[in-house]
Amino acid sequence: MKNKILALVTLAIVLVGCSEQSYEPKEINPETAICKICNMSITEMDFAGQIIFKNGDHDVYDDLGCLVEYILESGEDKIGAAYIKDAQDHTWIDVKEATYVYASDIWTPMNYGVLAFASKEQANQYLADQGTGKLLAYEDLLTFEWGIHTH
Amino acid sequence: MDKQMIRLECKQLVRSKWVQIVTVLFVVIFISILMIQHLAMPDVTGFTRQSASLLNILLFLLPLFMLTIGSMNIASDVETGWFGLLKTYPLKVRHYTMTKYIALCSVFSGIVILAISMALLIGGFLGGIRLPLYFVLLTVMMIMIFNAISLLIGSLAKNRLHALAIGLGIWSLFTLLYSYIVMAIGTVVAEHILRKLVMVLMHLNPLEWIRFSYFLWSKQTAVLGPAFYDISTFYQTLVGIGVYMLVTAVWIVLPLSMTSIVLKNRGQK
Amino acid sequence: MKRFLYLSCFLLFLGFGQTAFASNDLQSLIDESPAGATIYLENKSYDGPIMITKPITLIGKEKTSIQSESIGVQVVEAANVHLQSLQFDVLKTAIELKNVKKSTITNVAIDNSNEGIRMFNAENIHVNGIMIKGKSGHFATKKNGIGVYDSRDIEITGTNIENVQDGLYIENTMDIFAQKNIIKSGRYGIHLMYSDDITLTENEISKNVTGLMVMMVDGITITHNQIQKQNELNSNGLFLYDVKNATVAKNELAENTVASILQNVQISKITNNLFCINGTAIQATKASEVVVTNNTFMGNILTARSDSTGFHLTGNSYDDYDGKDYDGDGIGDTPYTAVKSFGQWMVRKPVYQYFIESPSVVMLNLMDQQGNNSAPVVLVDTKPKLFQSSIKLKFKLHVPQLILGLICLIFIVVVGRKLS
Repeated sequence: MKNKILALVTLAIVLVGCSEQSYEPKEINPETAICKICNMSITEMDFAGQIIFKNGDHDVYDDLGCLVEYILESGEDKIGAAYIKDAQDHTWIDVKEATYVYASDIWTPMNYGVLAFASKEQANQYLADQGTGKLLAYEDLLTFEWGIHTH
Repeated sequence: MDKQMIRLECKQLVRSKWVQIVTVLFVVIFISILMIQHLAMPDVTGFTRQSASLLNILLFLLPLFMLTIGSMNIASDVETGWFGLLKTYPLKVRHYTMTKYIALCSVFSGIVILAISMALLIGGFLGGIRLPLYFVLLTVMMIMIFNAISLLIGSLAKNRLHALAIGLGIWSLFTLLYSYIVMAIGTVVAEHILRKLVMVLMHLNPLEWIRFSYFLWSKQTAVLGPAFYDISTFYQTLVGIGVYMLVTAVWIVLPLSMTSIVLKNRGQK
Repeated sequence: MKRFLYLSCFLLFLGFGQTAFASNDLQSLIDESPAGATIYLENKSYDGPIMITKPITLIGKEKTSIQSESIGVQVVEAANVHLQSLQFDVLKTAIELKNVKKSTITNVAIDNSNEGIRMFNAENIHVNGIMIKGKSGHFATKKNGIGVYDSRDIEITGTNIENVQDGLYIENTMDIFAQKNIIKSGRYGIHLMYSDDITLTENEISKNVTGLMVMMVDGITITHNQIQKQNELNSNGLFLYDVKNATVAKNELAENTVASILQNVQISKITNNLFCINGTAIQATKASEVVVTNNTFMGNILTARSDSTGFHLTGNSYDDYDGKDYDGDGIGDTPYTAVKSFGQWMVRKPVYQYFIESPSVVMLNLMDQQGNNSAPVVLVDTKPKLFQSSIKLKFKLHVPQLILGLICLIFIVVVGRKLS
């Protein structure tokens, strides 16, 4: 029995050891993933966001607005990295490095109407194509009035 | 391993007062829980507080009975010198172990069948009760695993009291302490570590394994939450079923063979 | 073989000829008819897409159907359009309304379309008696049964929707009335976003991921609905997110993983509902103003769990209340504590759900009850109503079970006799 417990403890340590790594974005399982903030299931993968915590946990969000709400609520202390899907090629980009575009007629799962782009050029290009909209930086998101526009 | 021996063992077990008390206790509790479930609740298939309590009765009581009765049975053989006497006959220890094992399994199956048949009988007057087949199979699996463990405990114990003590200790570890320890660890480690820990530890506690089997067999793994979706789906694949059978078999074969080894060494001393 | 070939050629020709003819027929019929005309359709298949831009009434027969590779019927900038008794065999959207007023859609069946009905900027629309059956497959690949966007004064009654993403999806709309709809096997039964003044009544919602998903809503009345069997992973019956002025009354919530989740809910009331056999009956965060009263809780594994602010729990009846009523006023003499430490852990770390109602947790809950001297501040009902136990002894013979029980019993007795 003692040996068994010892084995368990070793195993636990190994497990813990395995998960100490850099804050890489994780794959989302559409069957089980729900937004940490609004509980919606993640059906639109191209708008999803995720936060990797310093302790290795991760949460997913269905919309950039939910992700920002979580950051505002809980602070950035425990957050290792936060990612959002790029609006153009749908790859993960760090929220702090992305450029954002807001327009009231952009559809997102929570209808917050903000898209993320990997570079400023791409965002500007999108703005030029659409004709309307506003350029935002990460800092602007923290003071942005989410969801008010539709009411 | 002849039939005569097994019959003799069964006879002794059935005549023991402790087994008789246990039988009555188990039958009464089993029937009353089943009746409460049948009478108070509308006909539902999901995981309810009532089906949980029925499961918990099995998880709580059966292992307790088996671990104490089985371990004390072997320990008393050793204590009274009966085992030593048997060793002088041309009898293999493996046969002795198997005889004990089969006798214990049959007696406990008898107790469960008695409880079920009484429940069916009473339920037959009240419009039929719901007793899913997987529940019966789960009980069989439980009997096979825990009797094997009880034999191991008995072989390790010095005397009957010692066997009882170890049996109760192991029982409280499996049913309560184990979960409390995991829960306590959970309060300090990150959630994903807790999740992995639970998944590993699930295989290392036969009681947890049986509880997980219940959800697996009744297709209610959703009850355990999204964190265990992956492992639940794994155990529904072909490979998963193979691994499942393997783990279950190990929980039966390993304690049994260890019992034989321990007893063999004892005899040589 | 030859004959078969001829026959199929003939049928093919027939089919082509007819639909081609019909297509021109219906669109030109509509175009040629004066505004306000009523067109009676025949028992055959017409080709879409059909465009309607003026007041008109289309009435079909039993087997009148509209086929299309894209949209079935599109109504744009019109009022007083009435569609009645039609079947749709359409790839994308069966019916689309844009800027439409005072119109009705009645008795319509939509099978295997990607989307049933969609309306933008519509006003005073009544949808009644619609059957929508979506394609099989994961809900992420499908669209909604009925989608309503930027509209007002919409009435949806007597529809039967299954296998779609969201049964009713309503966004940025005022004044919704939904009654007697049966919605099952979708992602969300009814999904409301940024909409106000909503009434949902007598609907039957079952086997969805979430029954009613109510988000960013001000003013909603949910009464007499049956919300059942939302019992998959992450499932729940009723979800209120960022909601004000909600009334949830006289509903039956049964067999859901979580019956209701309240998140960021203000000035709302949950009364006279039956919470029956759910995993958790009420889970709440940031909902301290919600009043939960006169409900019946029965057979739920956990009655309530919440963050530290809790909600007002008063005057409900609970089947696991173990207090007594010595003064006989129907109200228990000791408070009922819904909060259990295990339940609170589950709110913080969902992985703990693994231990739900396990032997160790049952013991823990017992200890919780016994050692409850330091009374918790939240989720305590000081006026619990006595639970009316519904145990009824009904004698009814179930012969097979009786015989089986008897055989087993005899077997055991015989074996036992032999041994002792």
